[in-house]
Amino acid sequence: MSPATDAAVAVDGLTKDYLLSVRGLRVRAVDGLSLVVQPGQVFGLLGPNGSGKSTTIKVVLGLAEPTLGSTSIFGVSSREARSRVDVGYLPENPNFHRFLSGRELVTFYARVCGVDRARLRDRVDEVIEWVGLKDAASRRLSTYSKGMLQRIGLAQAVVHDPRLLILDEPTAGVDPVGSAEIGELILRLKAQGKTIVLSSHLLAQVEGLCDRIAILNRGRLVLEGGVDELVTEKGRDALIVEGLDPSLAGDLRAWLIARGADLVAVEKPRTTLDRIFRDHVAPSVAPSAGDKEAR
Amino acid sequence: MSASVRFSPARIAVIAELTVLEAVRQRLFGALLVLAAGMIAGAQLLREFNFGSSELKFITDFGFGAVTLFGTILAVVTAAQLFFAEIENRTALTLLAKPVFRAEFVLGKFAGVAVVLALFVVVTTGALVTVLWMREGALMEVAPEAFERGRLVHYGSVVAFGALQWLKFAAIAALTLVVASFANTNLYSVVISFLIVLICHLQYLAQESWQKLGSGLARGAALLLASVFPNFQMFSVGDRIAAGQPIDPAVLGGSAAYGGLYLAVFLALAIHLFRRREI
Amino acid sequence: MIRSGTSSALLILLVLLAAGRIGARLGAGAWEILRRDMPVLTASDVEVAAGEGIMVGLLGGFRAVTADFVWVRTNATWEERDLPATQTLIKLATTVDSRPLVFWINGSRMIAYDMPVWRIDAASAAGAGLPAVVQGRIVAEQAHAAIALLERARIHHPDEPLLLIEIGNIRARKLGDLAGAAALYREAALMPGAPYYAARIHAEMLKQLGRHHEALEWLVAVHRDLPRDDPMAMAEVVLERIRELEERFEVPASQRYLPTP
Repeated sequence: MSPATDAAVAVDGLTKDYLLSVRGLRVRAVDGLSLVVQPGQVFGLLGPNGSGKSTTIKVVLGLAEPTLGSTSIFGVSSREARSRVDVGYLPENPNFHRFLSGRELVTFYARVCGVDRARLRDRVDEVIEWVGLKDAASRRLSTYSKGMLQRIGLAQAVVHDPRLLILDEPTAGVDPVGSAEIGELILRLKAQGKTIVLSSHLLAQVEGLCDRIAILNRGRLVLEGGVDELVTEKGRDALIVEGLDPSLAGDLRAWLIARGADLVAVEKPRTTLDRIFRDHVAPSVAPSAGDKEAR
Repeated sequence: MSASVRFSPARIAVIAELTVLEAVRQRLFGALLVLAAGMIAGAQLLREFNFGSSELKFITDFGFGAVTLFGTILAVVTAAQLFFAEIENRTALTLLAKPVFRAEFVLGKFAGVAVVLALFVVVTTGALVTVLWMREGALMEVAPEAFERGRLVHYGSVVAFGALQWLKFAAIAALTLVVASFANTNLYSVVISFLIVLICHLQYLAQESWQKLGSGLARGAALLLASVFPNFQMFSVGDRIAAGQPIDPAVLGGSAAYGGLYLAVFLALAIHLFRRREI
Repeated sequence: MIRSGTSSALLILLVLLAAGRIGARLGAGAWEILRRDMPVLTASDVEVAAGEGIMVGLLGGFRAVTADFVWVRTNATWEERDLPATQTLIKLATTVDSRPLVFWINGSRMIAYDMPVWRIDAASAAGAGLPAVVQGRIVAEQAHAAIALLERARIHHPDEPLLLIEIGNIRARKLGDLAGAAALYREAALMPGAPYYAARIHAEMLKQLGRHHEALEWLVAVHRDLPRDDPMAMAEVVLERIRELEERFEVPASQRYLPTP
């Protein structure tokens, strides 16, 4: 394991309690969590609602104080403002200033992050086009759909070209077409060498996006590892066969048994409902990040 | 290695700019302006009563009253709304996840509210000065004997009144930020802030009467009240000006210093409390 | 977290206490001046204001505005010749804010000059013409009521000559007490800041009372101190009146008053 100082995000023994009443009643949102996100990875922080994902992210971003333990970004403690220089954040169910237009919002955050004035306008136009909102940029955010809000949220997160992106439930409440588009954008960011921490409770949607995942439940880490290792069934292979006569299945099984293997099941290969929806609703959309072929 | 981040007035200015934009695009500010300007213009109707030169006192009193009352409401409501909305709507999450110091956030919000209050004072005081100038000119022609020594209104003092009221409103806005930085709802912020503002207007009564109270508990409470809350009657300089006297420079200086002190104290407290707040 | 909440509250308290001490010193001079200007709040003031439902205006630093509103209402009821309402509102306006002279003086004029006419007209309209004696009694009643109001005003404005002048006018015009009026005009004329006309009118009153010698002495004493370059002082008019009286008493030229330039 690489030293934590080289890590994009390092969480070390994090425990976070919230006080419920003046009598000292507490709820433990995160319990002894330790994990490391290496640069260049797409890291999935997965788990059901209330598992501690958003709390972990808030502590990493310095929005909340840890009760025990510590967190850092690129080796800088989360308690320091400078830890957030190279970070772009898209919160869960983003709520932006509704009285602003899309362009005004991105420009505001670009200025806050210190994007050079000389290239500010061009950079804002660039990211707005990149997220596909060029035609809606002058409209007020109050007129944006959920998917559009997520995309403008991505724009403000990347406008200052950060090395690390933290996306909290980026596809929650977004339709399959919108989810696919967001997934596509995430993969493009990865191709640029960015590190992405992605939190979601929609496991199927992000399966194809992440290199490595951590699964949280009730504040505790229950599983961590590379996606391929975790989802691949060890000791089994799947063959896709065309034109097989059902009567030959028995012969095929006997042949395999003679060679020390076994035919466990004969099934029809399945596509996904998500794929069917996209093929019929928006056949021109690039293949979903959930498609293995896309990777 | 992350670049260093320094406390930045430029970032404060960006946040302030956003705050002003939000206030301008909200209806409350516009409605208050119209209301206050209408009240001042309504003083013109006093002409029907033929008060003579006393009419100028009434116009000034009503004008000062409008500026003070509506300005106080604007200060509390705008500060609470523009600050708390960020927390309630969670737009503060995205902003504070940037390399922004909590102090910059508080000061940026305050600066935006201060600009809004300054706009309000400039417009309403400007309207009052205009109405007074025009009415005084008309009265000088109709009843010149009352104006033998020239104009009665001290316009410089009227402007000074406006400036001092802005300082008072800024202190009230900062006080509201103190409450908002630990409050759980916008309504709580507004109600508690108004209550505190009312107490601050009556503080001088506690100051003068605590020794005369009977029970030890009442005396202690009154003394605590007098010691902890600021005296907002320090800004009540309008009566003298309305009576045709210029503002005393000692009053202007002392009240301004007093207001400046409490403005700084409230801002520091708001920053301290907000630093400890979990978003 | 409870500990941190308590420590925050203690810190805030200490900071505000310190600010209170520093602020009191910073603003001491200004507050002394401002407090002097604020009308004193007495128990009866509070009772009157509470009865009329204007406590918030009274306490909230809106005293002047509240009194102005009351005064505008007073003028409205005056136009309607509503005697009870006008009387009540005059009392209320002067209670809420005793500082503006216009409330006291114009209020007294309403009581002394207008209300007798209203009362007499109201009685006449009822069908019975009032005998002169009764009318005289009404005029005197109102005059005394107006003087009582002005005496109350003098408690708040002890050094204001205009109040004495107003009382003098009522005594002269409504009570036929020219001697009393003359004394009041003299007292007013001797006060700092008195209008120039007070001295001239006192002299005229003395002449009307047949006290011409006294009038001449008075005018000579007044003329000595009148500024020659202020047109409001009307020094030449006063000198004319001195000459008229000297003519009347056939004062020899060598003994006539010689004004200093």
